[in-house]
Amino acid sequence: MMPLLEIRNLVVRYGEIEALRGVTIAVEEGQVVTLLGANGAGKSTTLRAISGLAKPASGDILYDGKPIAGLGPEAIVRMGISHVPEGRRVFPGLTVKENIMLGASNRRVATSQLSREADAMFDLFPDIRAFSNALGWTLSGGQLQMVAVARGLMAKPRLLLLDEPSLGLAPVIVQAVFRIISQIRQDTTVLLVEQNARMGLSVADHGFVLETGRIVLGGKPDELWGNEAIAAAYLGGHAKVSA
Amino acid sequence: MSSPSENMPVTVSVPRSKPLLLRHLPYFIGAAALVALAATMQFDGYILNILMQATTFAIAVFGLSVVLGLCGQINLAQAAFFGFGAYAVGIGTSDYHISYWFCLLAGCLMALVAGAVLGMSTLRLGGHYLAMVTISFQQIVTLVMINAIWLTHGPDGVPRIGRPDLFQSSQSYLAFCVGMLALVGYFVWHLPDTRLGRAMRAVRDNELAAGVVGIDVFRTKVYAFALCAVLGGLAGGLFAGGFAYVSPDQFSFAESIVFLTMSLLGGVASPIGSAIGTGLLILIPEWLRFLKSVPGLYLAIYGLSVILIIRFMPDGIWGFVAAAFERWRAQLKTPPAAAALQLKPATVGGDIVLEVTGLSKYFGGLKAVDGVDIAVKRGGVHALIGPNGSGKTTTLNVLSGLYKATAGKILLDGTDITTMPPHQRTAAGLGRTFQNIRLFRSMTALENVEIGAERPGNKMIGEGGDAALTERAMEALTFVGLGGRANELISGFSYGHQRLIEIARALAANPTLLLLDEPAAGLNSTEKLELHELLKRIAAQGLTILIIDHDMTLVSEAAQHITVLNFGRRIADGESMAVLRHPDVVSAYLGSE
Amino acid sequence: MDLALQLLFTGIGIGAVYALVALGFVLIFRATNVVNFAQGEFSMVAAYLMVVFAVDLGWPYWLSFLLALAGMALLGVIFNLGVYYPLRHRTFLPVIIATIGASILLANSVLAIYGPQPQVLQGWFETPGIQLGPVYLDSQYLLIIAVTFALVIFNYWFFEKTLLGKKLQATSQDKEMASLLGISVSTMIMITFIYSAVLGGLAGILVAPVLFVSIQMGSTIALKAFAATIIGGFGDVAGAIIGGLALGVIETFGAAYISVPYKDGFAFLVLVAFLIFRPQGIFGERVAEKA
Repeated sequence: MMPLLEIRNLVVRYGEIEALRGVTIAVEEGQVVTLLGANGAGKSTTLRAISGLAKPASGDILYDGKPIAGLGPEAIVRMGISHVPEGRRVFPGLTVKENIMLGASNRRVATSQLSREADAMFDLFPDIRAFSNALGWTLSGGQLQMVAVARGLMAKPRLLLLDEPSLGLAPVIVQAVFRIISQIRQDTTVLLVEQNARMGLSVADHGFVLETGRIVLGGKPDELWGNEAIAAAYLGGHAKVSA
Repeated sequence: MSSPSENMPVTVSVPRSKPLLLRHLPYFIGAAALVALAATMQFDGYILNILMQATTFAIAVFGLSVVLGLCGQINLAQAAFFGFGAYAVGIGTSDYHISYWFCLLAGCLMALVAGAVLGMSTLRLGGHYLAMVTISFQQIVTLVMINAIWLTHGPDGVPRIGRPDLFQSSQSYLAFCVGMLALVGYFVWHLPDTRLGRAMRAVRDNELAAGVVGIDVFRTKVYAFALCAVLGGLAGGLFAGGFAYVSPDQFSFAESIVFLTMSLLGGVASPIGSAIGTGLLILIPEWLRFLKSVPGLYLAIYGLSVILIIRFMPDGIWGFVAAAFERWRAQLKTPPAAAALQLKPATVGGDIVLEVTGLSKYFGGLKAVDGVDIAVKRGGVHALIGPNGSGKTTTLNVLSGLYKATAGKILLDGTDITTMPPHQRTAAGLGRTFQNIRLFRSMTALENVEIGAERPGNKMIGEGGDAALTERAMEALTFVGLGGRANELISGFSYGHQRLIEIARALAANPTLLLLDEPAAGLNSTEKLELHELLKRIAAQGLTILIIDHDMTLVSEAAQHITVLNFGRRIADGESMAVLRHPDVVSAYLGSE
Repeated sequence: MDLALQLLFTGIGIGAVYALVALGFVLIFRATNVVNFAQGEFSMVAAYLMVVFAVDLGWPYWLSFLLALAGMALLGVIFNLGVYYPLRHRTFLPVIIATIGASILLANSVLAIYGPQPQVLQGWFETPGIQLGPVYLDSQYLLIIAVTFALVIFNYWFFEKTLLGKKLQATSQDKEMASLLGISVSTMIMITFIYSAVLGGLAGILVAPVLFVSIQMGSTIALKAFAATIIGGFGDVAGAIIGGLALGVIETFGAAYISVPYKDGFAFLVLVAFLIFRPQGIFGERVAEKA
């Protein structure tokens, strides 16, 4: 079967820096795939290249068999790839519900229908229902993450790109976020970028480890876990992971 | 990176530079020839007027090349400053019969004071404010010229303006103006290579980095603005004497736009560009006199030219020519040889160079840094690590003064720097580099490092003369292995080399403590190894380093001591190997269940 | 006292014009981070369009009005495509210099076509005004106040109650995120320019019968409007409106009690006073912490 997303030899440069130096990964439909790696390894850049925020210097990105490298973000999200970027990026001056409603900007929906869909979204994220009319900037980190994911899901994506959903969140909140990811996966393919290796692999069907812009390891979570390379990628090969 | 261990003097044969005045003799001979020409050639009145106008306008446009070209600040009231000088000379000589020289001086002083006050009230704020405030100021000056009839004669203008006794004839007065133009031109030409000029260019290229290398950004901008105003005033005074009559419409907002267009067309960055732009925009309308028969048409064309120049020729005519020339010259200039770099960090306080206690930084409700203590021991490499979003970079920005601390205290070598602005911290002995490199991009490697060496309080540059500065900068560049390419523009260096230049800029300042913000970010593995070597050589000279990086191999090998942050709090602190094995640290990085 | 009431009325009327232009400033600034120095010329051009249609061609007032607004929308499009859009990735200095160039171009093109004599545009109403107790309410000033009030309400409704308004807000807050959601950023910016040009045009058409229609009216109004945005707190919609009204009142009282010829100078003095003592304006804490 053809993978939903296939990336071949992807190279991305920011000016003189080569952020990705030939990345090749595949994501099958219905899977959760996790990209692991230390800061600066190129995880976020990979997602930015897929969603059209970063222009690849060379290489292919195939979505559902169609090349999408070089398209703009607006075109790509209309094809069904929704990107929840690092830092949540919830619009600070809009309310929670407005933020969520705007998530459907890639589809043509009547405003009344949009409002109903946004309300339905609160069933998946009950913790933020009470803040429906609160402005974005008043929320805490965990709440912002919920809003960001809910907004990303409003696009009704076939492929959801999630960048560091656990970043800066307390462990209890991280667990809540990951519960939601395991719910989402029933209808949506997820490409997840995580620094929290343990959490990231716990929901994944497949994992890849990035190091300075290259994939150094790929496999099933239990094959990856305990591999020296993971500890090395994060802690520089001086600490052992207690499995 | 060429082998970074070459901490040896580079042996390049150096042509001993001749004394400054001798080198610039051709300029003065040329200027004298021009003055002589202006004094002796027979012009008819029409040509004389055009030359007089071009000469005086060019001086006003030189002012714009300082404020806009060198310092990157906008001034839309140059005609008003021009008017200050013109009315001072006009009213003074015509109504009150005061000496021309005294009036000229008074006009310059008035322009200077007005410029300084205007600058001081606005330059702390963004550039939009400056643009709007200068336009407003321009309108007010015009209002006063028209309405304060008792003083300015209102719309009738000031007639019968006097000239100095020495230059009574138009011809001799023109020669005098050309002489002044040559003098001002010399000054503006060399300004970029002076301490003030370098500071202005640094502010234009990267305000943040300028503050961090020790430049008082606000004061530099005010100086640039005041200098521009004073040149406007001088030009106006000369203009009034030349034409013997001034009226308010000559100093309107439209004239400010004419000055701006002249500056942009010729090339805002250099006096040569200013002269070209002024000459063209005075001659072209004369050739196309028919345009002036329709009011507004030629200004409409100016407006359109501004849009087109900005879009298609942002560096102006001369900027285009000069860029090519500069590349060629950089290859010819041989950098001087350099001795080995000495780092002699000041040692005032005790065993602890940097003592941070209870440091907090809140953004609204978000506690980015929350009660962090750090003690950096003298002469070692100390690392600050933590997962993404743990507050490291915020901590570094609070340490270097880019953010104000919400609470806590920072002692550098015994001095409390908690509330100091960035440039004062630098003067107190702090040096830093940036994760996303912040070099002054329009300058050469050597100039960048010279600005670092100019840090107030740097004891390694003696009196701070040009020669000592260059020597110190060359030593630092040689130390990082780039001495041979000192005169190349920053844009010609690879990313890894730019990082080394940034480190050299910090080293040249001879700091007490060096903050390195993710120096390995974006480097490939060879470059990382070379960086590691460089850190060792820096540490070997006894300079204390506080490093943030994600490359744990680099951190664990270079640092003796590590502080770990997570969620804005310190979760571990101590000897490197022990910290990296600490269970809290492992779970912070790999995640816990 | 009667005089003061009369001045207050006039001041609010003039201030309403400043408020409309200031609103245009703020909307473009929030969408693009650029201060549009040609905002005042939008008012001037619209007033001249009215003169062309209603006076020179003698068309009905309402038709001329609609045509003038349509012309402004077109000018907004041209302005965006010709001045802002090609420079959108450059730093702010080139962009504001270009808008200044555009302002000079617009003002002097009109001068070249129409000559320097100020033009007269009649007001909408036949009746000059009504006497209400001690205060004479000029009909044009009443119209200005009413239209401004209506526009402020429309503006609120548009930005707070419609999805398009929300998309515009989202774009001004985070362009990259907006594009990730499928919002067309370039379309949103185009709409902002059109809306601002129409707002500025409305202000010009409204104020034209009170002042003369002249080349200078654009730059004069723009300066006042900019001062208004600073007084109110830069980048703040409510602040721009309050600032505009306040400035109109200050200026009118200043002209009556201090000096008429220097009327236009008061705005500058108030502006400088605010810059020195309260740069964040009456409301704003929008002068963000420097990063």
